[in-house]
Amino acid sequence: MSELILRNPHSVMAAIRTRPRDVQEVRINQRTANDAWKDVAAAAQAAGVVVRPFGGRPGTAKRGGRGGSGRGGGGHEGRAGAAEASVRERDDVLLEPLFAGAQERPGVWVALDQLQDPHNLGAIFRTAAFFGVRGIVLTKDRSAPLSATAYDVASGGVEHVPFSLQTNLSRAIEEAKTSGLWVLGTSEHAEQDLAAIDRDRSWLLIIGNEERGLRRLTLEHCDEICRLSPRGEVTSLNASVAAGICIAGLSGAI
Amino acid sequence: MVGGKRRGRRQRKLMGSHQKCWLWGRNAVLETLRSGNWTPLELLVADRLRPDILAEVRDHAAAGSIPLQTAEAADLHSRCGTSEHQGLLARMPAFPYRPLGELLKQDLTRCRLAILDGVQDPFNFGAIIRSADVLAMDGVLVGTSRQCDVTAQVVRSSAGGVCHLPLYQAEDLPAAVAALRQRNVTVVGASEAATVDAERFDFSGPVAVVVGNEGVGISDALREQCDALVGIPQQGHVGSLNAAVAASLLFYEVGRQRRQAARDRDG
Repeated sequence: MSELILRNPHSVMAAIRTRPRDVQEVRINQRTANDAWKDVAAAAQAAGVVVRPFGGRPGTAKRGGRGGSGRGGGGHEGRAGAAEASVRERDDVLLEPLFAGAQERPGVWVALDQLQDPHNLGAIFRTAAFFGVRGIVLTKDRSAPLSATAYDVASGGVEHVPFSLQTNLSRAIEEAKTSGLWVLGTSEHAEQDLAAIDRDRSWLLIIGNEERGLRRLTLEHCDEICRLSPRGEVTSLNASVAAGICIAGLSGAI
Repeated sequence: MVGGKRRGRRQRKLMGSHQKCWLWGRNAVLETLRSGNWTPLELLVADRLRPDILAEVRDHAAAGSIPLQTAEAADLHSRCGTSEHQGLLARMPAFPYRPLGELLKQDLTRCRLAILDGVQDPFNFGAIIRSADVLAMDGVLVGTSRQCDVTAQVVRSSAGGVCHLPLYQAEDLPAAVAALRQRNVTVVGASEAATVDAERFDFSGPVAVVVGNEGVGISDALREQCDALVGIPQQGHVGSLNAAVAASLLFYEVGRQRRQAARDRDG
C-alpha cells in the first residue's frame, strides 16, 4: 500500500477523523503554520498520530529515527511555512458492497469513465461528499489515479465516499443494474433536461472523459440520457462542473 | 518596419509578468486569434507545426500585422515552461477587460450576470468563465482586489470562454453593484451563510450572481450591497463545495428557472 504526501490541511484532517491509523505522520512548522494546520496537529496528537517539526530554520528539522513510513520523505527541509502529512492510500471496495442498499434507500452513485485530470477527479470527490453520494466507480486504465493531488483537491471528500477501482466499466454498469440502480448519461443530443429525471430512483451517473465525453458503447448502457444546457457540446462544461450539476440535480439540491 | 512596430508595442502592459506572458496550445492560441478582440504581440510557431494550422496562423498574423517567428520545439518549451505547447505560442498583452460603462449602457431587463469578488485560483477563474459561457450567462464582471488576472492558465481552463464571453472589470465593485441595483438588477450573493436555498430563490428577473473569494467569501462591503444570500443545501455530512462548482450550480439554476418560465409562458 503506498503512502501519499498530503498538503491540504482539510484532506489530512478528514483522514485523521476517519482512519487515524493510516495517518503515519504529520510534519508541521508550528511557528509559521496557519490555524487549519494547527488544528490538524492538535487532532493528530489526540488521535495518537506522530507529529514532528517540519521545515523552519535550516538545519534544525531532523528527520532521522523514523520507523515505518519509509519512502517519500526527503527533500522538504527548509520550506518555511509548509506542513504536510504522510497518509496511506484508502482501500477501495468491491462493487457489491458499493451498491448495497440501492433498492431500500434511493441514492446517487457516480461512475467515471477514464477521467484524465486529477483535479477533476478530486473536485468530483469533493462535490460527491457534499451531496452524500453513496459510491464512486473509477476505471483503472488510462485514467487519472487517486493521487495525492486528487486527495488534496477533494479537501477530505475521498475519505467520505467509498469507491471501487474497476478494469471493465461495462461490467460495473451491469452489476449496478443488477443491484437495482438506474443508469444515467449526459449528452447534448438528449431531449430531456436533467430536471425531468425521476429523483426517487437510485441512479448511477456516468461521467465521460474530458475530451471525448461518453463512449458510444457506454451511452447504449444508459437507461436515460439527459442534457445540462440547451447549447454547447457534451464536453463543453468542465467534467467536474458537469458532474457537480448532475449530482446536485439528482440529490434534489437544484 | 517590423522592428518599429515592435518597439511601439513593447510599451504595452503584458499578460502576467515578462516570463508569464506566453499563451500556449493550439486551441487556446487559435481561439484567441479567431475572436479578434485580444491580439497577440507576437507569435512563435514550432518548425514542425502541422501545415494547415500553420496556414491559419499565418493568415491571422498577416491580417493583424502580428510578427511571426519559427523556432524549435525546445525553444517554445523554455518560453512557456511546459511541454504542452503543441507547437504554438503567443505573447499576449494584458487582457482587454471591457469597462463597466459598457455594461451599464446595455438593456439590462433580461440580464444574467456573474460577478467575481476576488476569485484567486486560475483554475477556478477559468472554470467559472467556461461555465458562465456554456450556461448562457451574459457576461462576467470582476473586481481588482485579490482577483486573479486573465493568465495563460485561465485562458486554457476557460476553454476559449475568455474569447467569447464579455468580461468587464470595475475598480470599485460595491459601487458597480450599486449602479446595477439602480437599474433594477437583483444582486444575489453565493454564501455558505445563506438564508435561502438557490432552488427557492426567484431568478426570473434581471439578476447578478456574486461569487466570493475561495477562502473568505464575499467582502463585507459587497455583501451589504446584496439583495439576498443564497446557498446550495448540503446533503452529505461533510465538506464544502469548490468555488467553481458552486458558481456553476447557481448559473445552471438561473438557466433552469428561465427555461421553466419560458415553458410556462408558452403553455
